Amino acid sequence: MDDILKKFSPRLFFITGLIMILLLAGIGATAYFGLNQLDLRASALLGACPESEATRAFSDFMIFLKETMPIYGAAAAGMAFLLAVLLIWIAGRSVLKGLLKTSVQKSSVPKKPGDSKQDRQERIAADRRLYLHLLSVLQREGRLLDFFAEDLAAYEDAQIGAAVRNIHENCRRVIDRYVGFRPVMEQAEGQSVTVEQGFDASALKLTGNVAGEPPFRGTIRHRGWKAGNIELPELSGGRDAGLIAPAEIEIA
Amino acid sequence: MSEPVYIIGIDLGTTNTVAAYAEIPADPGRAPDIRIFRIPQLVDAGVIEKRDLLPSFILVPGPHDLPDGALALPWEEQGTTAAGEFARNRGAEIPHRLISSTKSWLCHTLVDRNAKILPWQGLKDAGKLSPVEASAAILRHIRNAWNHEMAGDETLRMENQEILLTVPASFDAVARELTVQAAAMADLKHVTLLEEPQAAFYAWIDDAGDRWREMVKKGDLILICDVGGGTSDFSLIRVSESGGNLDLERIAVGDHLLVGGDNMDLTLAHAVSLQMAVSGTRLDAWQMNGLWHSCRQAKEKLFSSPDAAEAPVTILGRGSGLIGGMIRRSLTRDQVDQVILDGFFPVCERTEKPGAARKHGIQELGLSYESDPAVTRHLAYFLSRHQTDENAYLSPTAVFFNGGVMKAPSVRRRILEVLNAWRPEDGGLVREIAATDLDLAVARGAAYYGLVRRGQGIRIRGGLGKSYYIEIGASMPAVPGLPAPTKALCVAPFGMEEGTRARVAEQRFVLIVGEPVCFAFLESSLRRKDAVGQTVEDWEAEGIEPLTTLETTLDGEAGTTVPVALEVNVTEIGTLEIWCVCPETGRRWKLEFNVREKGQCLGAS
Repeated sequence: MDDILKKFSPRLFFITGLIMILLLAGIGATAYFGLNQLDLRASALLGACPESEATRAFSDFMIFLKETMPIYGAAAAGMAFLLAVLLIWIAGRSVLKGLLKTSVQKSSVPKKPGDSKQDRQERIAADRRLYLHLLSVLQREGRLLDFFAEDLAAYEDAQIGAAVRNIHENCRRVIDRYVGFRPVMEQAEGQSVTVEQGFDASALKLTGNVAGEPPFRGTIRHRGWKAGNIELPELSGGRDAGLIAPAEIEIA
Repeated sequence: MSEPVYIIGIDLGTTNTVAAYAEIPADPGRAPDIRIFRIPQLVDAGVIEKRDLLPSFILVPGPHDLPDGALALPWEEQGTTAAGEFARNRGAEIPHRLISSTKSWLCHTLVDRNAKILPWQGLKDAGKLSPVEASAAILRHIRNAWNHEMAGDETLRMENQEILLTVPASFDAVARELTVQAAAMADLKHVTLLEEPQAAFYAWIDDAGDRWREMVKKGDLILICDVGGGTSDFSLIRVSESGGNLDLERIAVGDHLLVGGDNMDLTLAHAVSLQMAVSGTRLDAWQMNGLWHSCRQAKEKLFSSPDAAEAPVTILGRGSGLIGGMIRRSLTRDQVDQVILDGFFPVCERTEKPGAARKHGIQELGLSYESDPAVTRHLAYFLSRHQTDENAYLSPTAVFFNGGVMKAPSVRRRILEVLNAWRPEDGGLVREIAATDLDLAVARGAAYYGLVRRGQGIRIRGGLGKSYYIEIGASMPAVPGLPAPTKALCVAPFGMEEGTRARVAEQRFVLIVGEPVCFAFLESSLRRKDAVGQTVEDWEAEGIEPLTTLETTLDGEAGTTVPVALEVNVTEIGTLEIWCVCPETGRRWKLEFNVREKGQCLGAS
């Protein structure tokens, strides 16, 4: 912004000056020409009736003009010229400064969603909804939250078992569809394996007597889990982000 | 239309819709992979996910049924209807807002299929759709989903691709015409029709590759037994040989049977609920719905694990009474066998016929579900009706299964058992041709057929699945008090192939210009030997049935008459067109199918 201003101000000054000089030269030339013509007429008038009082006064005024104009007139015009150039330059500069400021303000605000307050709130709401989505499906298809909300102390083990079978089956299907989880280690639990140099420490957690450098020999105690395929749903509509399952009201 | 890039096969099913696609290969010798298009759809209010199947249900919600923006789709902010999984699930709770079995309505001859009648028994204020519009809504969803997912530029939009749309083999000329209309309404103007059982068989040919020639042999008669969620469909394919190559010909198609897997699960649920009622537990509608789902799971478990003697059926309590309000029973193998196998696939004689409809005083005008649910009896009737003479039993040598119900090994075993019991003494055992994927085969096969049409692979010869007639007056003296006898004139014979036309030269009609012209249009799925121009007297006794009427108004100078002959055109896309042609001037008028309620008109003469 300052850059543009720095480049612009001498140019503005130069251009204003040039235009003013041309303008001044034009005015000067016209004034000079007009004055000469006036002088010619005045001399003719003097020749025609030299005795007249008015003619003499006019002739004197013409002589005064011819003597003073080139000196004082030029000086006054030069002053006016300098003042005008200065004023236009300052005004032009400040207008440009203002324009630049507003345009920079506009362009420096990126039009990405998420930076205005409303966008940010919407994004947070969408994230929250996506976070709760799996739970919402587990409740809808597997009644998982209803199950968690139950007081198990009130029921026999057999009753709970029967309910769990159903919930397990339905929730399992949801998890399979959304996450498709499978073990990290293909080998069976209890098998011994070798952990090579440069293993992924986030996927393999070593426990027990870990000393020295790999390769290590060890036994699989847990095969780990990882997601097979994650297919995120697309969520639309302005539903409350914290809502997991709607209340149901049967209209009679 | 730009040159298509893909061939898309759409299985517009009664309960589920599937789309498969293949890229049209630049090199015609290479067989491209056929893939399933995973259809994004609403699975809950405001939740869009992709599924292989799009349940063929449409929800027309009222103002208070859904929260704002619940039906927004990536391609449509302000949707007013929903198609797919959410429509099915939410619709079960508000059934008067749900349109289901659209396809069966499309071939229902007792209603006007362009009238806004669905949801059937819906509320008066609800925005209703006609059967054609409802089918179009499902196709439109698939088109929009495709254009959203697959179409980066104009040439890839579904409108510009080659589309194969499957219809039941039993669909008559009118229902086919309406299917094409529905597709056009969804902006799919270039569709070709294909029969579903044939499509399933094409999928098998695609899977088997070149080995299919070893798996069937000359002289085979293959029964295609397609029992889906809502309908059952039979077809027969004959394998013959010409010039050293195997030749496949579809020689018979069955009627549209409204019985399928959903009926079976519901029957199981009712059997269990009856037991509960005996012990004093009454179920409400919500619990009944839960029982239905639970019975389906239990059935699948019993069918897939032959050792299990029973499977639990649990209805969890509603709300907070999850465990306390739980109802638990178990479904035993005996029960399932009794209800499914003996109820729907009973062992029967090959001469048996389906039980006649029980006559009620006032029959409700809904979908006409089969009064006899026994698929095997319908099968026996199908085979016996299509045998060419009295004693020659049409014995299939192989059977090919399709449809979700046929995933159950014990059902397949039962049908094989029944077919083997029917076979003549000198015949060999009926064998099973193993299909791979029973849910998706039809769509995949349709895409394969699209490639076949471009000159790759074998084509099943078929043509028209029925013979069509028009009713004309017989030249007999009228007897007062009796309706004048009429004859049926064959205009389009069974097996007439796509892309051919025929003229009925024997019969000329003199029609009056400027007045509506109406012909009674008849069909027969049994008479397979009539030729164009042949007349059948006393046709009602000869297995010919009224279908609808054909209508037009001849334009020209009113009051004058014009002699015309009829011309029949089986189009490349699989529809039937009937034209009046004036032989002298060459002028043509197309006769339109009446799709309103079954109409009556006197035959022109």
